[in-house]
Amino acid sequence: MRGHVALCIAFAAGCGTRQATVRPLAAVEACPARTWLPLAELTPTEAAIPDLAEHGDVIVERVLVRGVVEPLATTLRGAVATRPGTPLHAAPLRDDLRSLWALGVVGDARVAVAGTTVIFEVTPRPTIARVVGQAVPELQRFAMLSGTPYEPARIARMAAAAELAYQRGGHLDARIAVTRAQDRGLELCVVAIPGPRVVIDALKFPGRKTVPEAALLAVIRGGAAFNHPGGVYDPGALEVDRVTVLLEELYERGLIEARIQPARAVRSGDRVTVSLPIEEGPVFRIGKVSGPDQLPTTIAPGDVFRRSQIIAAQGALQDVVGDRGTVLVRTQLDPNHALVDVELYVEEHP
Amino acid sequence: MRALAILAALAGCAHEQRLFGEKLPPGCATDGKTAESERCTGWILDRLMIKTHYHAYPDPELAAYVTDLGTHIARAAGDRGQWTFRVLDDPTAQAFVNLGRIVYVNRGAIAAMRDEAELAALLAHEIAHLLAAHERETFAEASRGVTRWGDEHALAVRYARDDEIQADELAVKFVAAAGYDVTAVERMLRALGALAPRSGGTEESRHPAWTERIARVQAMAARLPHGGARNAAALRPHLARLVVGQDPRRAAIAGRSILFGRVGIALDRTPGSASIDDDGNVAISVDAAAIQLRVFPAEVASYFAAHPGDGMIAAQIPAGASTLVVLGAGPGAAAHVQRIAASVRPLRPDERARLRPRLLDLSTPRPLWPAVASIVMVERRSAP
Repeated sequence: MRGHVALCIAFAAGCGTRQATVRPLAAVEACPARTWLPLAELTPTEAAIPDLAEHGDVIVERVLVRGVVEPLATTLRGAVATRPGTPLHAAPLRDDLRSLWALGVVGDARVAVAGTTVIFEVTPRPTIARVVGQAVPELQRFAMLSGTPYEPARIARMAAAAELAYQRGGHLDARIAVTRAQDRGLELCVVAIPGPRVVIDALKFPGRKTVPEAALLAVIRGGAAFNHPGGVYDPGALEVDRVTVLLEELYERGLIEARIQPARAVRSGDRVTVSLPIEEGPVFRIGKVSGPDQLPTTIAPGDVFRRSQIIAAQGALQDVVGDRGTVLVRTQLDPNHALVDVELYVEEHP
Repeated sequence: MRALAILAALAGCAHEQRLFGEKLPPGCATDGKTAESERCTGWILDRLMIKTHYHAYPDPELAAYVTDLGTHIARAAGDRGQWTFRVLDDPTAQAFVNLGRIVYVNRGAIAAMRDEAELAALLAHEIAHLLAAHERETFAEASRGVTRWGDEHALAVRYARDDEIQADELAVKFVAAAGYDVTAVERMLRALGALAPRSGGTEESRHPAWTERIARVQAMAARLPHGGARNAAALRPHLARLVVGQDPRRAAIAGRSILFGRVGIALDRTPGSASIDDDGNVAISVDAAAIQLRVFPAEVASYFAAHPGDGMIAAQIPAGASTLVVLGAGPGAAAHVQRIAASVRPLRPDERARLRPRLLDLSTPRPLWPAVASIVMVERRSAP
């Protein structure tokens, strides 16, 4: 089982056959010798409600739940709307079956009518009978499925989460395959196929003119671990940085109309080159500066427009104003001349 | 809340390998490895929470009992790792787990249990969340600033609900493996459901409806042998002295005075209206000013006083190993803060004697969902 890790959990027959919810792979050869099938959700039996025409106008006198033990039977009886005193109709019974399915404990359910008695015949969800061997931490969570109800949607979600864990480690092609078989109970085979570990060969910023590449690399999170040359590629984290710290770095250099396109990644084997195209636009400078008499001198016309300096000027003036009011900033953009007029003003407290 | 915002800011200080004077565990560093980061992040979050927001319930015997019980459950679940269990001085019926293998259970949740098996079920549910790696993906994404499910809110809610169901089902497995009655999880859920009958199952709720949770654990219990222990006698002594509701020893309003029994100080407040929240924090409204009074461990208080927040001012008054921090905002806040700080005095013996918490009344039958609990029924007897 080179590169594969197999984990077996057990399964029972009698389930419906809706389409698979997890990709089956040819790698089932990594599982013990069984007939392995895709995971399939449980579906209701057809003709779950009998033809009620022969019963005429009936008022229900008794409601029973069969197929499960107490106290579950009482709970299920409480979950249906059909009660003694309600008329017998197909639509409410269909709603009741949906309610039973929604509770997630039935593997199948149908309705039988005997005179004025309505009987909900339910089959419990099959149990995952056995878990054998899990050799890697990423699959260890599946071990606890032993003895619990068979829930294909949950298993598929667990598989997706395990894939994500591999991908964060750089195994961008990682897949978790889950298949089922019947052998002395319900059996499930979980195979992890990590694929190669992909690292970043280069991180480029085409279109960059004035801002140094080193400055952009310095603000991207991850360091040697991810999103830097030699590290793994985490597209989600890089996207967050694109719209936060990278743009902020450009804004701090007066490039307030700059745009950074989403990352483009080009794979070559186990290497990837990542590009973040940049449109810098002009460098904006401060035009006019206006405000109260105690204007701080930290900003002046002609300075490169840096948000941090505007905030610092605001703070310095606030120290002077104190409790009397709040210092606010108003800006007026002149894109034709790449200028920003800045007005600092005080909103007096009542 | 503001404390959590400060929590995020303080976390950045951890790179200095100390947090509030306490050294980080060995090997804790930002090495990018998920398992290591979980442990270290869990430790940091734990220290931040218990220093700035939560308080440990001062009952060492109960704390030891919960630790032994929780460890027993974890071992029965097949886990050999180290766990920490904390009983919090909070009247709400909640429990939660931290990725650093730290389980928190409020005294309010313990007050709703009636035997050791039910308490074991509560702890088993939280242990199950961690062992099933429910928060691992969310944490790993969040630690890189990615909220993968944040944009798909309905999906996130559905996954959160399934996590709760799975934790309930695994809790049944774990308590059975530990030798307890398999119906304990159902009884635990019914007890909590009686306190919050309308929680869960709504469009926005991350918890399923009680009916679904009860049905699921009943179905799970049906798969296992019955006859395990309940052991009410083991829990009863702890319940008998358990405080319920707000503890007046944390903070109490007595006429024009505010009493802080645990730290032994009192103050005569300025005119205005005062209130106390479940965490024992005092809020005073005076004209257009808002004043907060909070007790912190001394090593934390200096940070809050130095960083009171935008437009706020602060004063701090030492009180033994703790510090009372007075925060104020709005017009005239500075004068009110100074006046309050100047009025702090030692708690008088007669004032201390009046600070008697309410204890759990075990003689009253406990309501179980679908019946709704009445808080009055539970909080009846006062301490002698």
